[in-house]
Amino acid sequence: MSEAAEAPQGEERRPRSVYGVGTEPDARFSLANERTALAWLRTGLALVAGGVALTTLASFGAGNMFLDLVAALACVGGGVLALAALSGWRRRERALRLGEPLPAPRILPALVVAVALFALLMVAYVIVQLVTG
Amino acid sequence: MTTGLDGDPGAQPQRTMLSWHRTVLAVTMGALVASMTAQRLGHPVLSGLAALAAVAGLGGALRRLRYWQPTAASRWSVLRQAATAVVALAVIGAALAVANILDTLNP
Repeated sequence: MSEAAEAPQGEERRPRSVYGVGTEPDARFSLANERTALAWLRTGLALVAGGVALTTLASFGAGNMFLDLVAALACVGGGVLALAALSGWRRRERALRLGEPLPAPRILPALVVAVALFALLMVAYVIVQLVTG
Repeated sequence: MTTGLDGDPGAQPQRTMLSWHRTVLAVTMGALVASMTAQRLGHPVLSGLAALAAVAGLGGALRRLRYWQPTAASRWSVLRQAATAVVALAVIGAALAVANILDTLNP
């Protein structure tokens, strides 16, 4: 580990849009920001995993286009969350370096709406299945 | 200099590293699940791609995390790599679902 730790010191820190502004913040805040980004990544991953599981479920029997559609949407949503994790990290790190108030998570309202919509769709699907039997 | 970490009782670097390991593990598991699903659904090419991505991503991420430090230059690149892996997995998952829909339409 010791020789590995020295390797990247010569490089310029990227992205420049973050490290080119402000002053070095307390490392704890920066690390907390990184963990936040990782938690968002795992949230996106959970959506993708749910989508893949739903695809498996849909493949039992004669195929189910509705479930496949929901699965594809969940996967796309997971990918969007992964990108949002990156952009959110960048915005928060910039705010930390500039001493500004932390920005509110932009993707959170969208995630809440999407999960609620997903739940409603699945409830509607179950009811339709029960009624048409 | 790294301010805030001298005598830090919160073990912040360790917590962050554990968070990284959780994420890398989750991405690898996700890729393997996608691979198995693709295999089950009869898309061996997608399955192989997902499995290869899982192995390559795991190796690459672990190698890069060796250089991880609170002030290292590689922090952004490894974060971007992890996000890219999740996006790739999302594309594979969506492709599986779309392939399933097409199979249902043209049996």
